[in-house]
Amino acid sequence: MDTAAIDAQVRTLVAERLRLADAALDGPLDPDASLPELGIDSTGVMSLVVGVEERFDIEVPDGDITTANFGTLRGITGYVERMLVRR
Amino acid sequence: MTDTPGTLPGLLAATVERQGARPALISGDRRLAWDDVAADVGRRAAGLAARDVGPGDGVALVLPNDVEFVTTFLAAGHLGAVAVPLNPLFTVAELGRHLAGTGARGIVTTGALRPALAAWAAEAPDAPAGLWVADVADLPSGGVTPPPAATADGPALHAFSSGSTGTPKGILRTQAQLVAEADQFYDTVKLAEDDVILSVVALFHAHGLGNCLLAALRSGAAMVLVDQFRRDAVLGAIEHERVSVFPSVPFIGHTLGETRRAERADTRSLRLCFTAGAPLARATYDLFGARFGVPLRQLYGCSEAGSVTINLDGDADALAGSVGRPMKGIDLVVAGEDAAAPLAAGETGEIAFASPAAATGYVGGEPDAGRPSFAGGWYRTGDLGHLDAAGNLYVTGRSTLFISTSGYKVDPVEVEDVISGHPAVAEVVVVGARGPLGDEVVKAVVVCGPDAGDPGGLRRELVARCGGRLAAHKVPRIVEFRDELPRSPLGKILRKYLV
Repeated sequence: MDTAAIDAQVRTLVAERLRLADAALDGPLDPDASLPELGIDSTGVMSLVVGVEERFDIEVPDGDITTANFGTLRGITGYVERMLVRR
Repeated sequence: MTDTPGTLPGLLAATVERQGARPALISGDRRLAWDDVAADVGRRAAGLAARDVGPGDGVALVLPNDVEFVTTFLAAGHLGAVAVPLNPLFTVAELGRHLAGTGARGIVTTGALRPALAAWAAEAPDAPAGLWVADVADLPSGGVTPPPAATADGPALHAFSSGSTGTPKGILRTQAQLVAEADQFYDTVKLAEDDVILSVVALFHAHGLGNCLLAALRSGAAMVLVDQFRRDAVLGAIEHERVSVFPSVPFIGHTLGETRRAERADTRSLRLCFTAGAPLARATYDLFGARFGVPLRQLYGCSEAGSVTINLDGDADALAGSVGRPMKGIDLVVAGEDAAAPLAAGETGEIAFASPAAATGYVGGEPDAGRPSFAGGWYRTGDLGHLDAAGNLYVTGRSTLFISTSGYKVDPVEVEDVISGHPAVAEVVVVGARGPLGDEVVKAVVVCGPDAGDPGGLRRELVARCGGRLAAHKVPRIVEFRDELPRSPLGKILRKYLV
């Protein structure tokens, strides 16, 4: 799976799980926008983590739930890419 | 042995006498027996007394779910002081709003939070005069333990309920009311000293305080303290500490139900799992049950009275949507407009109850004097529901506007006040939009003023403004712009069209 395909799937997850739809953002979500600054609290992040596990068939241990990995769209896409390579 | 029935020190003394050597608190590598807890509580009480804390004085607890929360809470109770537990994730402005009017003499917090709180206490105009702020690790711990000064009728807890005016409503509960709550839960749920309670829900909140701390104190069960919901930490605690009782919120139940690797953990010790704080979706019930082989039950409670009902029915599948029956000692009715005439089974009305654990009023009086919440020994919850023929309660809605999210209640007015302070905002309404787990997410619908400019930029500014002034769970996840708000012919905003 290439970066663009992962990015598209992560965007779908964000829309489904966080109700942060593009429509509510006036256009596509900036890949570097800080999710906490968009009002995503720790429960929102956890919901996203579970969605990522299910969609990409990977396991995200507690210690990987960091701002670097789950604080932005780009962070999530990069994390998923690394996990898929490792698998 | 001290003889102080109907008080927190009396409860602690009884548990210590019965089983002082048994485990009480487990937090990471720390393990305290009930004897150790009593000794720590004595030292902490001496430390608070050295700071001039005495009967009736408020002590704010801004502490995570850890040993120090439990011992400081019980030390305040020992002195007959009033514990004021507050969310450590609050901004200092939110903490200040809650502290005003509590009469707190000091704040016990962590080393990490102390500097910001101390700066606020020194500078904020609304900070109570002379308020001290102590890192719990620095409280003096020597000295002679003062004798217990608690009385059954003395105030022990200053809790808060979301208000309809943006100001939190204060609730004072006495030592006897907290002991009554502990007794009700113990008599209803039949906890035993070999139970192990996973304490991941916030102890500063009624759910954790009642169903973890008071439940353990009364029964002598052990508490496994976990400060933040993390799946590996929770699953590891269940497996290694043989957790039997697991109070949670629907979000935690749903997330664990979705977590496939939970099947690798040995969770067979779980015997009673229940959620509170928000309605439990059937999908969450099914997921959790399939994953753990134990039904996820519902408990219903409130800050005014602690836990009120719990579903312990043998036919958990059929009654999954019910919050169960009243705890022993509680009279509960579904009331119509005439509170004196309870409605029949199946009819929907306002849930009201009488309980020896309930407060008797709000600090500073009723916000709506024309329709008091507390009257004649009854408390009207503002929640809507019905009873079935067997007396099982179903909560079906709220007559108030609070939003249930992340296990907390959010007062929309508090969020509206922050957003409407932005110069580009002409009007704002905050509502609970349906979230993916059957819970709600905070949504702001904004009408811009004439000079608003770029909506994307304004959205970021509004979210940042909320993030700077409110705890994270109150920050809107959805900000929608409209040209005008839908109103009834009488000018009332039609919130249902904004969800």
